[in-house]
Amino acid sequence: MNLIELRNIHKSFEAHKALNGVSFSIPKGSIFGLLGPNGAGKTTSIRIINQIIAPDEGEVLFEGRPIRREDIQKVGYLPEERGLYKKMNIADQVIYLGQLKGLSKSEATLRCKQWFERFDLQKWWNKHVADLSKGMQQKVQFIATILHEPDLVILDEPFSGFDPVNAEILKEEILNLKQRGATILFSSHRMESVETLCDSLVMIHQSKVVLSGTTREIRQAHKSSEIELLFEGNIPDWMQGFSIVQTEDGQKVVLPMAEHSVNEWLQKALQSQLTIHSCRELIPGLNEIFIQIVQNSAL
Amino acid sequence: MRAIYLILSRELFVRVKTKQFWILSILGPVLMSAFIAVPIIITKMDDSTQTIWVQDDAQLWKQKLPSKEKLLLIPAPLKGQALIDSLAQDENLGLLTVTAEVFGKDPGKGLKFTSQSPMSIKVQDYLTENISKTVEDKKLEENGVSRAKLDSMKTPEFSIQSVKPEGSSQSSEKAFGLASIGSMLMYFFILIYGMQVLRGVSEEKSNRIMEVLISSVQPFQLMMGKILGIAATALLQFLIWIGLTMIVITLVLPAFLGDAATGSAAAPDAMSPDALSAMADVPGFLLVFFFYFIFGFLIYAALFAAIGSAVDQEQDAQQLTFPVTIPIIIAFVLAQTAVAQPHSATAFWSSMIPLTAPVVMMARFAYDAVAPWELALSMVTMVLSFVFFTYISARIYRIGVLMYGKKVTLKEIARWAFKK
Repeated sequence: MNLIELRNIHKSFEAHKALNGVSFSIPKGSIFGLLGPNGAGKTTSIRIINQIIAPDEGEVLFEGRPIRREDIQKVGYLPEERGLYKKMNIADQVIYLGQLKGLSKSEATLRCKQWFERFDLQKWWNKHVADLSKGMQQKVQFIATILHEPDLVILDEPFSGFDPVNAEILKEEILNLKQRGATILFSSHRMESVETLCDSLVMIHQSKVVLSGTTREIRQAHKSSEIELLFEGNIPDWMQGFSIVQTEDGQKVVLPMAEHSVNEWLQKALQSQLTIHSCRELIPGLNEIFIQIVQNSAL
Repeated sequence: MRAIYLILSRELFVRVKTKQFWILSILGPVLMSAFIAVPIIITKMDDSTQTIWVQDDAQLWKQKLPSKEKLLLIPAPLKGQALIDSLAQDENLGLLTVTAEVFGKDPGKGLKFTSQSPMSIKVQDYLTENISKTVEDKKLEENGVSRAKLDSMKTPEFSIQSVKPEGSSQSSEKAFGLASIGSMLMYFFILIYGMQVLRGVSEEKSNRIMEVLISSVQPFQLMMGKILGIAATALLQFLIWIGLTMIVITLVLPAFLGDAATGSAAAPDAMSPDALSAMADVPGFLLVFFFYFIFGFLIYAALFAAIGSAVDQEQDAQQLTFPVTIPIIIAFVLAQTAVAQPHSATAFWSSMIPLTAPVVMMARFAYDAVAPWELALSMVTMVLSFVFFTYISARIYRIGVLMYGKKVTLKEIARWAFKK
């Protein structure tokens, strides 16, 4: 079951075509990556899902039916450029934003208290944004995004500006949300930052979808069928002809799986009395896959 | 509706909680009262006595020099160089020389005042009146006519009473006060609070909370909530002003000033307590004021909101606010002519055009110069314009709030407003 489905979306701004027939679906309860370089059309797609702007053509389905205005209350959105009011204390802002998403004041206050406790922010309840560190501000923004327990959480470049500790906390919370049944839409131009989290993903390049599927499928489909062997010992004759790189940890060689399987290569190495440190199948990262696709499409 | 209500209350409470709101709330009436009271107080407090030496070569004053409270006139005790030295040393001292030319065709030629500092207007007024009367007396005497006889022949001062056809009388001084204060308050409130709308919108944009907000509510709701919230703030402040001013004028001022407050020449007519307290006598005026304030504000606020949405930073807004502030400034100028001629064509048309009507109508209405059909037409125009300008502004706002990193021109804004 898909929570969100985009069907053949077109959107232009003046002469610029921001989305050109984009389609993808986000399975319910999954973590979904919306990837692509800056200016590819990620934010436009997100704004269309958020109903901030309307598509010129195409339709958005929510739980299998055309999306309605009131569905906006089931979505939580953390934009890339985020901010808070300067002259309002932070708890009031979080409660206010929760109310705008349909919570009653008492419910919003209660939940805000729970989240502040969880993130250890209680003593900042009455403070203003200026008094908070950047990390704390991000926590507050995150709380504001999910206070109304949305079915769909949209996080645009969520890790930008997060220090490693806070990024880890955020990752944990995202997994918690998933466990509770929420669907998470990630958007990022830094593909490696989300590839471990995403169940499935879509890649947009120059306003078009260039790749989509589950993360596993995509990586399997793009693997180069090579293994990397790290070893020590005299280089045997059969290895002549492969390029061998000397590293701090030993020698490294890349062997094609077209000729032999992993097991066969390992057997050969063991027979040649080599000390093996590691052996792994080379599976490209999303970044490499993306670059590969872009290069191919440019040809 | 719930969204607009939530936004409205946030705007109101955030503003009412600030120090500035209360400072302005209290300062407004205090300043207004001070405007009335200060000239009176200064007149009362000024107790230093000025000395003027008189060298009366024309024998104008035969017996006694016309000294009065705080002004001492004495015959010059010195002559020649010693006199000049004294005048040079003491800047509070002055010498009035009167020669025979004072009886001539141009009496001013017979009068000379020598001093470091020029004669104050008050002293000047007093002396010219006294001298002209003394000269007159002297001429009368020479011609054998007594002052009493002349006075009996003169027509006393009089004014023409304005009366409505139904018979009730009206004071044009009161109307002048209402017209001036009404149009001025209208101008200030629309401008000050209109700018707050602009600031509020561009603040939400520049601190980037905008995108979160419009993913929760529609841009139109956000815009209306803000405008109505600030309108509520302005109304609240206005009510505080009226309340405090009434208290100051009816209770504090009379007790403080005694009878000096009534009929003092130092207080300008428009600002006399009589005229001010007259505001409370005219609930109709207040009703009309509130109507024009609310709709005038809504129209201008919509325009200010549209401009606020189009800029990234408040500082960039200056050029763009020009076309919006100009009409209200023109309205203020037109209101002055409407005060002078409330029935003129200029006054009529500018009270019909929605951008100038709020300010000008105050001036005309105070003079009772508005026929019921005129008022009705103007009010309908105001309401329709409110719908029109809000519609246009909402279209601009919707696009503007998402526009970053680009200096927007008026031409582009116009295109956003009218494109399909």
